[in-house]
Amino acid sequence: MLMKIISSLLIIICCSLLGVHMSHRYTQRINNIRELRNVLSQLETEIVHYSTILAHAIRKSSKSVKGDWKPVFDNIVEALESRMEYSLSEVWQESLRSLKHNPNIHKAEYEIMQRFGLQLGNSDKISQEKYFQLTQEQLKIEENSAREERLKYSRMYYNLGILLGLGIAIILF
Amino acid sequence: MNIDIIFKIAAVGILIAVLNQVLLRAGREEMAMLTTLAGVVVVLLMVVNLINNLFNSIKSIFRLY
Repeated sequence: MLMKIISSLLIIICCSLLGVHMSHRYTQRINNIRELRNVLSQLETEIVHYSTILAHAIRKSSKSVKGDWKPVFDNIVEALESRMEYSLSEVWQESLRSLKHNPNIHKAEYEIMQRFGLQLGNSDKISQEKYFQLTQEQLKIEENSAREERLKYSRMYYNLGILLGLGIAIILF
Repeated sequence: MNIDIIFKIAAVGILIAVLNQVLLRAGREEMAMLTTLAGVVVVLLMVVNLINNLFNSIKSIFRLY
């Protein structure tokens, strides 16, 4: 009997943790988008106002970035500074690929960044500034939709995890 | 006859009702429908043996075989 109760509790706890993990993804996605917007606005300042070299600009602006985008920017900086025979857009696409199946990053912002990488550093200041503003605008829309989704689904996944655990425990009891 | 199964079925019923509400609140009507269906199937699996017993008893009482 004691064994049964302990194993049921274990099942419930595991399923609840699963639910918490699933609901945490939505918060994580918002944080990632916010970090990304910070980096982009810093990068814009570096490029448009200070005219820093691209590798230095990316390194400077991605210094404080946290979350899932950090390895991507680190990778880009490393590849640019080691001066291998790559163009920026190649490096960018290559580095982004590691995030393709990341659950904390949706396809929408992934594609926005992919398109952004194709434009970065290959036109004059004014059109670069326009690209930055466009990307910021798109990321803002994504951030808002991520917020809405969190409001809608975060609570649901949390409850679903607990209830699923209870269900399995009751059926097996 | 074991009385436990009645409590078990009641617990599953309550659980499915709550699950249904949670999913409806989140705007996933089709998932709510699916969980209700899953609950019905689970309870049916629980009682299918008892129903079989019932039919066998009826058959033997009325000599239908």
